Formats: sequence, C-alpha cells, structure tokens
Amino acid sequence: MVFWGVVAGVELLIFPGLFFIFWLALFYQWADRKFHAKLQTRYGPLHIGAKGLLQPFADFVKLLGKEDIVPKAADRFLFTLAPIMLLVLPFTAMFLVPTVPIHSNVAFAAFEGDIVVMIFILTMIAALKFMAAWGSTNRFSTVGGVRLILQLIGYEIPLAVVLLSAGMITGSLSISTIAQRMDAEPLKAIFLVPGLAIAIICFLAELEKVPFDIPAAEQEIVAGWQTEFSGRRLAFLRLSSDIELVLASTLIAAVFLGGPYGPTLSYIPIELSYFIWFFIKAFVVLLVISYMRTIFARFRIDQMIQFAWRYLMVTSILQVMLIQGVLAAGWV
Amino acid sequence: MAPALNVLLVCVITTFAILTVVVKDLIYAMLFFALMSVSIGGFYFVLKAPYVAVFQLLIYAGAVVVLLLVTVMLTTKKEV
Repeated sequence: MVFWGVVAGVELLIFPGLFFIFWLALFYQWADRKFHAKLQTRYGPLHIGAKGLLQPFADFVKLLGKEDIVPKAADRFLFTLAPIMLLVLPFTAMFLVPTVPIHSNVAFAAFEGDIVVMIFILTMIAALKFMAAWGSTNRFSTVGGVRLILQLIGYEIPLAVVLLSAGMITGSLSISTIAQRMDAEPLKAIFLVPGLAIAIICFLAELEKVPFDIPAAEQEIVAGWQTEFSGRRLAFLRLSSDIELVLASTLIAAVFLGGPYGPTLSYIPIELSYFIWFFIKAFVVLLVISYMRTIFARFRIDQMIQFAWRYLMVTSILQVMLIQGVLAAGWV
Repeated sequence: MAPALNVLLVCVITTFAILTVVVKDLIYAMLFFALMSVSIGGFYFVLKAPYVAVFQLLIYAGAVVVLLLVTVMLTTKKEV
C-alpha cells in the first residue's frame, strides 16, 4: 500500500508528472522554434546548451527575474488569478491524457468521461485568457480578448464534435480507453482521418498559432491579450502556452493515433515501448503544427469565423454521420 | 461521510449562486457562475452520477459561460 503511494507520488511529481511535463514543454518550444526557423532558412536558437536546447529555459529564468508591473487601472485579482490558473489548467489536463503510464496502463487520473472534462478545460483556458485581457484594462488587451472569444465560438464546437466522434466509434468516453481501442483496431483510426485534420486546425486556433494568431496579432495589437503582463506573470503565461502545445500534440496523438500504445517487442520493457510510441506520435503532431504555422499567413477574424462555421462545422457533422454510417453498416 | 460533504457542497453552491446575483461587475458574476456550475458538477459526482457531472461541466461551465462571455464582450466598459 505504502509502496504504491510512493509510486503514485513519483508519478505525480516526477516522471510523467510535473517535472517531466515542465521539461517536455521547454523541449517542445525549442523543437517548434528550431523547425520553424529551419523552414525559413534561419538558424533558430543557437547559443545556450547544445544547439540552443536550453534557450527556452534561459528565457524562462530571465523573465522570472524581471520586474513585475501591475498597471494602476488593472483589476488586481483577475490579473493575478489568470496566470496562476492558466498554468494549473493545462497541467491538470495533462494527467487525463495517457503519456507514459507506469503502474497502470491508463493515464494517471483516467476515469470514464474524462474526454468531456478535457473539452471543458480547453474552453476554460480560453475563457480565463479573456478574463486576463479584460482585467488588464488595456485597449490592446481588450481587443485581443474580444477576438479570442470570437475565435473560441468558431472552433470550440467542431473540436468538441470530432473529439466526441472518436468516442462514438470506440464506444468509450475515456481518453485512455479510446487510445487502447484505437491501437487494437487500427481500421477505426482510418475512418477518423477527417476528424484528425479538423482537430489539428482547431488546435492551431486554440494555441493561437499563425493562421489563427488573431488574438495576439503583433503587427496590429502589440501582444494582444497579454500586452500588460511582465516579469513572473509573463513567464507563467509563456510556460502555460508551451504546456498547451504539449497537451495539444499528446491529446491528438492519444485520441486519433492510439497514444502510447502500439506494437511492442518482447525484449524491451513495456514502459520503454510506451515512451517511444508516445514520443514519436506526439512529436510528429508537433512537427505538423509547426509546419502549418510556417506555410500560412494570418486570417482576419471575420474570415476565420466564416471558415469555421462554413467548413469546419459542416465537415465535423459529416464526420459524425460517417461514423454513424460505418457503425450501422457494421464495418468496424 | 456523504452527508457532511453534501452539506458542504450545498453551502458552497448557494454561496456562489448568491454572489453571482449580488456582484456588480459582470465579469465577476460570470466567474462565480462558472464556479457554481463546477460545484454542481462536483455535487453530481458525489451523488454517483459521473455522466451527468461531466456534461454539467461541459454545457453549463463550458458552453453557457462562453455565450455569457460573448454577451459581456458586447457591453461597454467604464472609462478609467
């Protein structure tokens, strides 16, 4: 009993838990920046650590040491609450996704229905960003926050629909179970390819990556909703967006690609195999996101909303119809 | 065990519900509304209805809060 308690503590704090996620987030930021730079024939991070690997950590520490300024007109409570909650929510969501399960073969906090909680957390993150923008009472922040919420009502529904359609075809509402069944019957994943595309597009909007970086459009509204943040708060916001990047790639890998489960070899331990599959799948998704943000240019907000409601929404409903048809025909 | 937790949750829900109505600032009213919905989700969870709980979270604390946010966004702010 005590032994499993210790294992759970280690799992929560160190290995697939907080420490691991923190460093993975910084590594993903590095990989994203480096790949983005290479595609634009730049060098990217170069000096700190081997090939600039420690640059994100150096940026983080530098921001922690900077002066922390709160504008006179800002709402102090919201201004303090937002960075903390924005760091807590993606960390919480990471425990619902199977990354490298140690003592059970599901995610740390898996339960039936956790994909719905995941959708709720993704919505709450955007809502908190709006509160942060509103609380800082800056013109640029307010405009950024308004754009963020408009964007949210565009991508939220298609994202929820395709995530739940993965639940429909596998007959489960738990992310770990979806991933396991997807691995057991890869045919199911083939019918979900349109859903995978929609999910990647929606996560580009959730992460405010380039075709949808309208809330933080730097040529128009400085830094959008995070204009007034500095010092520790900005460090937290940056880290939170990195963890969101990890969350997005891990969640897409788990729901549509089978997550850490995959073919195993008898001479490597099962945990190592989980780690290898998780790393490969999530990293491929990260590179796709990074590639998309390189090749596109920013939409205007009205173009984004029209695109979301005309095409994404319709395609996601068609995806559900496809899955219902496939289930009714008994193909899977 | 259950009754004490139930009473506690009911108190929390009632407090947040009253705060939602009483508070002047719209954004705080919405924050308390979201917290109230999350607490109701927790209440359903204690009553061993996990599906009702997660959909309570999704619909009320997620979707309805976003719709209210859109409404707040359309209001004008007091100049400072």
